[in-house]
Amino acid sequence: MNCERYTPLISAALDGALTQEERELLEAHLRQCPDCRALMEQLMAQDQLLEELNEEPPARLKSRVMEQVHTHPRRARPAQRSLWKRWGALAAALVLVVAGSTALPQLAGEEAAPQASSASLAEGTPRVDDRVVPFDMQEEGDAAVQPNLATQETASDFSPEQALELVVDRVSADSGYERTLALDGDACRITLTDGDTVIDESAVEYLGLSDNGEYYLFRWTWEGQTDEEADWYRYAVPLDGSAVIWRGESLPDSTDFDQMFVQ
Amino acid sequence: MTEQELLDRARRGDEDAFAQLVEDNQRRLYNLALRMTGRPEDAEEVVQEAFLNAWRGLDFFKGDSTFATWVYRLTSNAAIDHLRRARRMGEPLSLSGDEEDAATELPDPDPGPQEELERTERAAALRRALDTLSPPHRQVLEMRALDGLSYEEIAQLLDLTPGTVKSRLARARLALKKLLAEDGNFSAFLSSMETEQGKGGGGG
Repeated sequence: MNCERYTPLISAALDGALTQEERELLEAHLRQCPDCRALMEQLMAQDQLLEELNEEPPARLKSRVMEQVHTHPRRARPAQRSLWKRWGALAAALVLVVAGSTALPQLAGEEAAPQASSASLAEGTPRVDDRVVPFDMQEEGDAAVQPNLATQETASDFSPEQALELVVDRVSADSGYERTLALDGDACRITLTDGDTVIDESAVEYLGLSDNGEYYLFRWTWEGQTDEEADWYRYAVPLDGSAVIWRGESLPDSTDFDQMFVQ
Repeated sequence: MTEQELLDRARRGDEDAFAQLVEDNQRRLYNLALRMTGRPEDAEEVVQEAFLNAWRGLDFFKGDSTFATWVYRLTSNAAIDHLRRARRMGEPLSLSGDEEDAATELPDPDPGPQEELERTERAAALRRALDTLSPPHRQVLEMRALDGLSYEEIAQLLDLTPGTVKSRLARARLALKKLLAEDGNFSAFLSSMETEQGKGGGGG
């Protein structure tokens, strides 16, 4: 008896994935084939054993998730891009501190941040200037950076620098180490230290606008990074600054990050 | 309430609705993270991160896939991120290659009745057999038999057709059965099963 052709059906039967026709075919075969009946029993038992490998999650898991959710209120995408108040609150939350208030990152151009509908995005993209501006988000005190008011009054979107700060925060705020940040051209260098010991050095680099003009794109790099990692650690910030989206998260299809799942 | 209704409410900021989505998915995601990181405390952290990413990214979830598939992907990615970061920071950790550690950590090591001991040994042997499978076979079998994902969901996550998932699963199940038959821990178990049926070797 040619049993080979029935094994896919037996497997699919375990998953409840047979068509009516397939089920009838299999049942007819099983009635006359003890070997296949035995195989089906074994595979069922095997599946049961596999399921038993699962552990129950800790009882506290859900409440911990919800605690975090509660402290990260959702920021709905604004229907209108009037972000001055939004940025004000965000700037306060970031407690951005610099060595001197004159070291503020300034936009190279005075024009407003690009709109998604802009036809010449590359030309309209504001660039961070190339001065090295050390700033430290860990320590409070001294001169807190104020948002660039001149820009904010005219721009309804975040600037790339503001988006850069969000990404830097996303990749390094929770490291548990002391953090030193330094603007370097279109990038921000991040140094993590534990006392005098340097734990890690990396940088978040601004790549420009996404093809659809809706996102600022960034990548997080470090020395010795593999190609796979370079591809993986990319981030997108909607122009309104409403989120920091890591490549490992889902994105609209229209962005560069088309393949989200890396096996 | 349907998943779609819960999602709509969560998008409007309803934390209770999101809590229900967490409840519905946490077991699968915790076990996925546990398999990938090998440590319960890391798995917990990864799942928290994934759910937080989901919460923050709800506006970007278009509904092309199910919420379960999306958050599964977020968890997988968060686990990979977790392992890479830990490696960069030089923390000792159990990489996914060291899965025997995970297998020995899973069952309660507290010496219990004989039955529990057998279950523990069998789980470890089963984990070893799974790890011996080819990665594509292991992956599809874990997603189906452990995580309970549908053919369509697996197909979407792995960028395969449901037909390929179906045939690959059949081969994976047979490959695992063959491995278990060769394993001393399982041969007795399997033969007792066959004895119950009053039959000889399995067919197929």
